[in-house]
Amino acid sequence: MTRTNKSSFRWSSAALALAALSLFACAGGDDGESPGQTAEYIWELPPGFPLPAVPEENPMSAAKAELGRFLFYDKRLSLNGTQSCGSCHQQALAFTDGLALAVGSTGVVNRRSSMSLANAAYNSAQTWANPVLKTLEMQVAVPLLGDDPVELGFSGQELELLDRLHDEPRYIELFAAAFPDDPADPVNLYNLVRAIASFERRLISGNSPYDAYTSGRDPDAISESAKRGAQLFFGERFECHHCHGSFALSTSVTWEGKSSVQISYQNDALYNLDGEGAYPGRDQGLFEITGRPEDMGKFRPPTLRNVAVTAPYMHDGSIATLREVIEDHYARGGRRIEDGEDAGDGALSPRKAVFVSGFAIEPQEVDDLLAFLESLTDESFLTDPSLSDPW
Amino acid sequence: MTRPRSQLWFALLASASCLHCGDDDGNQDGDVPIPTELSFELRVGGEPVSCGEEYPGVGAPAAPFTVTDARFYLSSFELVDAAGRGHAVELTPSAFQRDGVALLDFEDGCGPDGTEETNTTVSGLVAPGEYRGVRFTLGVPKDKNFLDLAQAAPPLDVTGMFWTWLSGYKFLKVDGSSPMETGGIFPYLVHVGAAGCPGDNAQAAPTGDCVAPNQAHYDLDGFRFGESKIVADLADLLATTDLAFNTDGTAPGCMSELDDPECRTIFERLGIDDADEQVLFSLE
Repeated sequence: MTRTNKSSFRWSSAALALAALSLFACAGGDDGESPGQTAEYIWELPPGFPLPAVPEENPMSAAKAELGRFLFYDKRLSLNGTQSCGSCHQQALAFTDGLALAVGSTGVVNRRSSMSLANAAYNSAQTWANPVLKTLEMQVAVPLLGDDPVELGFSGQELELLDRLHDEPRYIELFAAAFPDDPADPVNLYNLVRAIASFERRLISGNSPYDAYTSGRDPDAISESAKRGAQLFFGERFECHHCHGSFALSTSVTWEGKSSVQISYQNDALYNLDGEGAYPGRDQGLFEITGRPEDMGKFRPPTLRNVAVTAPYMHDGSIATLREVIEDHYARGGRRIEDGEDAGDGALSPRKAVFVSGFAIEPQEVDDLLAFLESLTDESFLTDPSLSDPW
Repeated sequence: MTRPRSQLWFALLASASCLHCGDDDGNQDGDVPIPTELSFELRVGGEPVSCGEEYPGVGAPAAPFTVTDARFYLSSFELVDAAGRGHAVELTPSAFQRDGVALLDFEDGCGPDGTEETNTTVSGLVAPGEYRGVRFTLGVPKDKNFLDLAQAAPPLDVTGMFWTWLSGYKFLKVDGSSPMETGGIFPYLVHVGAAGCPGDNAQAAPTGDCVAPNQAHYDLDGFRFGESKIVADLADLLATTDLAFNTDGTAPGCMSELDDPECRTIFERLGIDDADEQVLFSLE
C-alpha cells in the first residue's frame, strides 16, 4: 500500500485499522469459544440470504450482540457524552442520520455521509473507501478513537472510557454474560469492539415489499409501477444492477464459504474539476489510500436497501433526492456542476465508471424506478424493537 | 455402436497406452480413472495476458487495449479417443471447479470487480486411454445457470461473473479499454451469456427457454495427454472489433443483448452458432 501526503485523515484511518488489528493481536489467543459460527447462535436470515462470514476471533452469540446493543446506543461512548454510535446511525433512517455530512460529538463536520448499517455483516470492506477496513471489528475503532475527524472522541482517553463502563453495574453483568470464559475482568476495549460488531451483524434487512414479491410470497406486494422499475433496474439499458446487484443490492459483499471476495470501488462521475476526472481535494476516495491515479474518486457502491429513507445521497450527501440522483446524475452519465470551486462535468470524466454511461429515460420510467427503490424499504427492520435503543 | 465392440476398443486402447494403471490387471470395466490436468493459457497478440497491461494492435482498426478482466466458465469437459468418442473428465471439486463446471480466471483483481485469486488449469479424473482431442463448452449448463448466486457452491458464487438470477452467469467476461484521442479512455466490455430469458422477475429463474442460450462447443484435435495446453488469444477474439466504437443506446462493448450489434462479430468468432468456425481456442 502506498500513501500520498494529502491529508492526515487517511493516515489516521489506516493507522486505526492497524491499531484495531494489533488490538486483536495483543488480546489475541483463544478465549475458549468455538470459531466463526457457533452452534448455539441461530441466525434469523431472510429467504435467500447466505450465512454471514464471521471472524474466528469473534463468534456470534446472543449475549454478545445484546451487550453490543447497549454499547451502540450509549452516549457515554463519546468523550463529552453527547453521542453514541446510534446518533449517526438511527434505526428509523436505516441506521443513517439524515445529514449530508456526519457531525461528530464535538461538532466537527465529517467529510462523508453516514453509511447505512443495513446488512453491514456482508460488506467485503467497510466504510466508503477503505479496503484496509474489512471487518466490523476493525471499523468500530475508527469512530471511537479517531481524531481526524473527531467522532466519538476517545483518542488517548481509552482508560476514561473503561472507567465509565466499570461504573455502570449493568455492564458488569452484560460483559460477564457475553464473555463468560474471560479472566477476571471482561470489561476491556477488545471485548467492547467485539460486542458492538456482533450487534451490527444483527442489522439484517431483507423483509421489504420487494422481497415479498421476488420470493413469490406475495406477487402483489409491490405496485405495477415498481415491477416495471425493477425490470429497468436489473436491465442492461440503465446498468444499475452491475454495482447494486445481489441480495444485498450491492455487489461489494461476501459471506461464509464464498470462494473469492470481491471489493468494488467505482468512480461515480460526481466531479470532474480539471477535465482529468479530479475530485475535490477534500475527498478523493480510494485514491487517498492507494495513491493510484486510476483510483481517483472511487467509492464503494452502498446497498440500496431502504434507500428511500437514507437521503441525502452519495458519499458526500451532495444530492438531495432520488429523483435528482436518477435524472440529473445517472441519466446524463455524470453530474455537471455549473460554477463554484467544484465546477466541472462528471459526464466527461475519463475516470468515471464504465456503467455510468448515461441513458435516455421517459418521465414514467423515472417514476417506475422510484417506485422500485421505495419498495426496498423494510419497515420491520426500521422498527424492530430488538434493534432499538435499550436504555 | 454395440456394447461388446465398444468394450473391445476400450481394452485395446487401454492396453496400448495405459502406463498409469499400476497393478490393475486390465479388467476393462474396472479401469481406474487417471488424473488429468488441462492447462490454459490466455494471450493477447501472442503475449501472455496480464491484468492491467496494455497490448498494442488489438482490433480493427488496430488500437492499444488494456485488459482489466478476463475470466470464463467452461463445462462438459471430455477427452476424445482415436475413435472420436468423448470420455468425460470428472472434475475434482475445488474453489474453481465442481460438478462439471470450471472457472478459468486470468485476472488478479486489477479491475473494479475482480478477485485476487487466479486459475489457469482444470483438473480431474478420466478413464485411461489414448486421447487425441479435447472437447468442452463455453458456458454454464442450463440446469446450473439460473441460480441464486448467494446459495450457489463455488465456482458459481463469484459476484463479478453473475448478472441476475433471471439472466444467469457471464460465461465469458473480458473487460478492457483503449485510449481515446481526446485524452480519456474508451471502455470495451465483452460479457457473453444467455439472453432473452423470459420472466418479469429478475430475482427468479426464467419461466421458459432463453431466446439465445449463447453457449459455444469446442472440439480441438491434436491433443497430447499431459503435454498439450489450450491456448486462447483475445486478439483473435477481437480481431474484427472496432474498440473505439459502440452503438448508441447499447451496452459499452457487447453484453449479449439480443440487439447489440457489437456482439455479432464476437459471437461469430466464438463459434456460438455451430455453423461458425471458432477462432479463440487452439491446442499447443
